[in-house]
Amino acid sequence: MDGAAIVDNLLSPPVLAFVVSLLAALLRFDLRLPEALYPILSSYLLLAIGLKGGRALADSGLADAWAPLLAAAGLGVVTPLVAFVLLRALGRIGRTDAAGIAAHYGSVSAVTFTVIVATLDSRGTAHEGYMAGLLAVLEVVGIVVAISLARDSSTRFGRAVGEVVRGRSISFLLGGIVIGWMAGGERLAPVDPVFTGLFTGALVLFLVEMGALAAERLRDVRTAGWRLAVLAVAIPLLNGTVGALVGAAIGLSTGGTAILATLAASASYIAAPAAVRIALPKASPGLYVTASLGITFPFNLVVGIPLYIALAEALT
Amino acid sequence: MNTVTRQLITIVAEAVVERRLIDDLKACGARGYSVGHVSGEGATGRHLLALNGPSVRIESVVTDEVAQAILDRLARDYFERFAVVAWLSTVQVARGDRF
Repeated sequence: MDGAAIVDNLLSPPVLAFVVSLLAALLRFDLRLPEALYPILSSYLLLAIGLKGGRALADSGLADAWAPLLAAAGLGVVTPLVAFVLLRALGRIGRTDAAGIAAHYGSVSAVTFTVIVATLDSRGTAHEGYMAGLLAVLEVVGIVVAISLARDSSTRFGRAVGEVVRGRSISFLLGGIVIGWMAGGERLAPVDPVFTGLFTGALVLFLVEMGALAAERLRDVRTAGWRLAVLAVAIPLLNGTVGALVGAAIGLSTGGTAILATLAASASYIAAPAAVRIALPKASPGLYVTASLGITFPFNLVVGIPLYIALAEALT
Repeated sequence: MNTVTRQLITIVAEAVVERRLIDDLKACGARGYSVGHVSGEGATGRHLLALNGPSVRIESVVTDEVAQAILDRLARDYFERFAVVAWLSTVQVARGDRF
């Protein structure tokens, strides 16, 4: 990978929107959207991703997707374990907090997923359409594994898992997959102007808001400590490499491998914060949200994505 | 019109516990409630975790016994673990049989 790939990625409108909004927030410019828009945009994006994945499943059938789904479930177990061990050993972070942070790294970021898909599309790199299904699997498995690491006796595990699975994030994604899968390509054509045509524009709006939220978290990095800051870059690099190796091993295309690497590297900040809050209320949000949203998300968006694409190109 | 004395319980809580607070409220005997989304600051700082949605203010008019049961439930299951505050106000309500 060369510097040109990073610059090219940086100049894509969604990434640029994020960076400009982050800088604006740090300089205290008021580049904020009305708060009510955030849940609307995230619901829209998740539904659109689901529709796209469901449509691809209808086209390709489940036969092609089972091995990647299994691999995704495996990654969902490995990535939080990697994070947990590193956080405990190198980060010197307590068990409950480490489990809370690991849940974020085990789960995935739908927005990071969306950006890599948009990047691959703009480069004309083909990828398997059913990756959105993997997103849904990874989002849940990683959280469940990490929460079980906490061994917190006060946690009502079943209830927490139930609330994650039925939460807004998974619901919209799965709802979209079911609708897209049942309707199939042709019947979806009338909704394409809304869910395909407007998609990148909505993503830009969402990332403007994300930039401001990330900037808020970036201010807390100093309190969270330099060890966590370093790990918030090291963990995605390590998990991303594992994801790329797995993707190449199960025979995904270059695009699919890059997506799997990005999914493994990404940290959740929609499903995981809510789940960890419910299941591990004693874990500090100041640590897990700062790491996932303040450091890992910007890192993946600006540096990680071109890196994972280069890695996928080298491996496939 | 005659009025009767009841307790207005107001709970301000982080978004993630909205669903289970409402379930618990009903389990304690509340017959109705209203929910509003709010922003603000508390003793522990700015409302945390806007990511999970805005904080909620849940209000319910209940009898003294139900109000006490709800406060006990909050003390047992919420105060230690979540960002939750609650208070009671004595109110005069019309159509007291509804509460």
